Amino acid sequence: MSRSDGFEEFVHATGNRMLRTALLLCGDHQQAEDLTQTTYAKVFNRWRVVSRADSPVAYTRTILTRTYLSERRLRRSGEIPVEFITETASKADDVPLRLVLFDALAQLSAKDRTVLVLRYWEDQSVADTASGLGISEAACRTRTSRALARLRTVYPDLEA
Amino acid sequence: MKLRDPMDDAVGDATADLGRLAYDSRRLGMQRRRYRQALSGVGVAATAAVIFSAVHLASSGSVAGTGAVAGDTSAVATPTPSTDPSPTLVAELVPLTGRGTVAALRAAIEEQAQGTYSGFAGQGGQLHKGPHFRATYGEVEFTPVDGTGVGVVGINVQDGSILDGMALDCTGASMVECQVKTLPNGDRVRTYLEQPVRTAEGDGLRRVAELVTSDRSLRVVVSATNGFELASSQWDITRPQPVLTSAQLSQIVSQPWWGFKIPREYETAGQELTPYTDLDAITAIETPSLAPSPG
Repeated sequence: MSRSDGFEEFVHATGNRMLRTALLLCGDHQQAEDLTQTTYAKVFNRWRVVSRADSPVAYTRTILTRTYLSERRLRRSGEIPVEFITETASKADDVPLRLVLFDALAQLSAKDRTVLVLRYWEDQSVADTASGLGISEAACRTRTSRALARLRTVYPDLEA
Repeated sequence: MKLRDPMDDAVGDATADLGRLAYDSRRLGMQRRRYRQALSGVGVAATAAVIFSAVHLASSGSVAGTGAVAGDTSAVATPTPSTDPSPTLVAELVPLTGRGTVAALRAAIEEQAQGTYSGFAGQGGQLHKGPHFRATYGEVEFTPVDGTGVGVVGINVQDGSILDGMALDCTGASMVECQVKTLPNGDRVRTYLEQPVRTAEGDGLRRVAELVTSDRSLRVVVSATNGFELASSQWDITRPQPVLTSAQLSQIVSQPWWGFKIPREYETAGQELTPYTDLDAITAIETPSLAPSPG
């Protein structure tokens, strides 16, 4: 693979977008950078396939979310998602809005958070989100509703 | 309020160093590719792998050919991995992991050359432990004190079964300056320079030393470069010659501690390596087999 293969251009065109998605998933800038780099390393090794895909961006995003979920399994297999958001996350007046969101998302399970990010940040349909995560559309809807309900502890006026 | 709004507030201004991201992604991808090449046994001479092997406790007369097969709770007499010249000490052996591989590699380099270390990466251990084949991989960016530039030193520790009857000789066209010698304990070591990769900035070079134990149960391959291989035809060359000589590489592969059981102190040291990239976090993850629908 040479440097004229289009990989560099692809990273430049999509890197910021992937980093932002990764940041919403991880809630930490360093982890998001690591996740983004790992994703593009995989993309690099499959570049011939990725570059010919119907949507290289969608392909890359799928790699990113699957890597995120897999790493979460490895690193935090003992993690137990809480049922409700804690009081500390509702102190929106005292901390930057960015941290409020990250704290709120951190209370969700990794898969629930991924569902929200794909649907409301990436504007994916239920069908595409479910397909990308390997879950049924019904499960995707259930996770979406449950996650939104939890976030409303922090954002009471959150719309579906 | 739409959820998109706080999301946009939180990350909308986040930006990446895109040039660096592309560069590092290529490098990480190449690391993974080299590891896979080594596992498949394809391009034995062409991969970056260096295999070293284990267990030459036999050379110290204590435990013949053991390192690879010793039990989990083994305690054996083995040379200390530090620079302490004392001949032996009792070491507890623990399963070799990616981190342990890198720590032991660093210790072996330290006995041959002075310099600084960074960019630790490793792979292997339980994920790759099977009934017929085990393997670990490690690498480190090493800058000798001569100040002429950084290179990558890599190592593969593998079951000898990967050789599948292949002879350890110098018949491969991709090998330059090839030599094979037999050690007193019957192990064989092959050293060579991979066919240089011509670039506009000079030749990309990789020197290799490869050890196969006398019973062919273990293979250890160590390599050193004169820069960073970015792709099959692209290098970032940092110096005229690789960071280690053939003689130094031969000494590294001949260290007594190589095997699938390793003194615990290496494993402990491996846990403290930083910055460390766990390549298992990459290879253990399946990438999509089919292109997802556009979205």
